[in-house]
Amino acid sequence: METMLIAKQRMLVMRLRGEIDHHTAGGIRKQLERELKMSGAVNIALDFKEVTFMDSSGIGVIIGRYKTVRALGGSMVIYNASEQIRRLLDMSGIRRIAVICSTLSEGLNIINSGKAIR
Amino acid sequence: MKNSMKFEFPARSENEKLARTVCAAFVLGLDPTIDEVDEIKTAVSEAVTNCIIHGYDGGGGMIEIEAETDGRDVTYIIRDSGCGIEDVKKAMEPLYTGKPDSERSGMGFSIMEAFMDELRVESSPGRGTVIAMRKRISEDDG
Repeated sequence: METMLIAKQRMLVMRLRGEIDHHTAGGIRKQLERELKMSGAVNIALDFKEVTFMDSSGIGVIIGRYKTVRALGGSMVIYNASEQIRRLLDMSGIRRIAVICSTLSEGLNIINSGKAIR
Repeated sequence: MKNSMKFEFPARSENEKLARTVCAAFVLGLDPTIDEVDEIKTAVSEAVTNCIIHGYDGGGGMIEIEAETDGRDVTYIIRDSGCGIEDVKKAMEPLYTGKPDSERSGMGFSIMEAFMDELRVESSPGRGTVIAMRKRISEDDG
């Protein structure tokens, strides 16, 4: 999992890879929490470009990290998700708690405009 | 076209991928769309994950999957011999989870229902759970 910190926005960007299911969710959760803590970021952006599959275990990971950043006063951005993953996000109501968009800059604009969901 | 298969595997999380991949491969002869394959993979993954987390409570056991095609219909029967579900109706409510402390979203059955055409759940406490899911694969218009 590649990570990048955008210091100005205190945003941690994480590029997720491969398949997110119950088997892989635990490791992803631990890494996201560790990186959030170490970086001092309050916002998180998840890049789904290289995620080839996700089931409801991934939804659990997203909701859990939303709770973490919300407690820090931050917001969550999800971008580059495939059709299959977008459908799951819509079904699970993730749109109500996170910014779902196509590119990182789109997400950053929404965060900067103060319209992000908290 | 009629076809059938049956396989079983230990209820361990690394086998979730195996289960959904085999179930998706089984239907390829019907020329499904990419969306249909994704829907089957997701629904099977939800059912198998339920067996592992809830049926066997992470403790292990065997999961059996039977599948058959009949015309353009494909049916998957996923069976565990775990603890069973006391209240199936409640377990199927959206957002309900029997494991609220484990970051489970409670979306498993809702996803199975949304992605398949028919879902049946039979369970009795102490005797395991059987999930039967049917999906009609669209006609190949090529």
